[in-house]
Amino acid sequence: MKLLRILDSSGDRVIHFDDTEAKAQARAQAQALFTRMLASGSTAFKVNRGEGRPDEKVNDFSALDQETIIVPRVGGG
Amino acid sequence: MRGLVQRLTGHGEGETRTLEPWLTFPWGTPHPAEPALLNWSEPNALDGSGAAEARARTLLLRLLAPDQREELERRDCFTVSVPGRGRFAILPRRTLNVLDLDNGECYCCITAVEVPLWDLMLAQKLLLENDPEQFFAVANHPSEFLFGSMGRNGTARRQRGMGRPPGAAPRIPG
Repeated sequence: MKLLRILDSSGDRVIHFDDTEAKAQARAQAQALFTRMLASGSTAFKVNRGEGRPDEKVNDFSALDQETIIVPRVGGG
Repeated sequence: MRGLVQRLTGHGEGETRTLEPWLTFPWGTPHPAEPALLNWSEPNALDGSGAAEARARTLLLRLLAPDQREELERRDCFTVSVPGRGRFAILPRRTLNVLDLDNGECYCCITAVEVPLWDLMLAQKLLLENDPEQFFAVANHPSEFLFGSMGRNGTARRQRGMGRPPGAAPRIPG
C-alpha cells in the first residue's frame, strides 16, 4: 500500500492506493490529484524510504515509493 | 533619516507580542504602517493546541533524522544541512524562521495554504534538503534583518552575509 500525504490546514490528508486492480479507482484518483497539485506549484517528496535512503523530490507518479509528502506551493513570507 | 528595524519580543508562550526598536540603519524611512504594528498578535508558534498541530508534530518527529528529532524534542527547533550552502536552523515560528547558522541571515518561506506550524517546518526541511533551489528562489531574505546585536557605534556586530557560491564549503563546519 502506498500513500500520498498532502499537507493542509488539518495537518495532512492521506490517500491510500496501490497497484492492484482492486485499487485501480483509488490509484487513478491519487494520480489525478498528484498531477493537479504539482501543476499548481506543489512539490512532492518521497520520504520514509527505509534502508537509509534519503528523502527525494519526485515528479513522476509512477516513481512513488511507500510514502509521499506533497508540500503546497511556497512563496516568500 | 535612519531606517528602523524592529524585533519581536516575548517568549513564544501565547502572549501578545510587541515590536521594539532593534537595529537602525542609515538609509530609508520607516514604513508608514509601522505604528500599527506596535501591538499585534500572531498565532502562537508553540501553541501546540488542536488536533492539527498534534498530528503535524507527530508527523514531523517521525520524518526527522534521529539527530534532528533529538534537537526538536530538546529545543523545539532543528538544523538541516543544505548542499553547498551549509547548515540552517528551522525555528518554531512562521516568519523569518530559517536561520543561516553561518552568517546569521534569516529567510522566510511559507506555504500558500496555511498549514500547522510543524508542517511548515517539515515543508521547509524537505525543500532545504532536497530542493534548495526552489526554497532560495522564493524565500524572502531581508538582508538588513540580522540575528545579532548592536555594537557600540550603533552598527550590527555581525556583518551582513555576503553569500556563498553554490558548492562552497561552509565556514563553520559541522
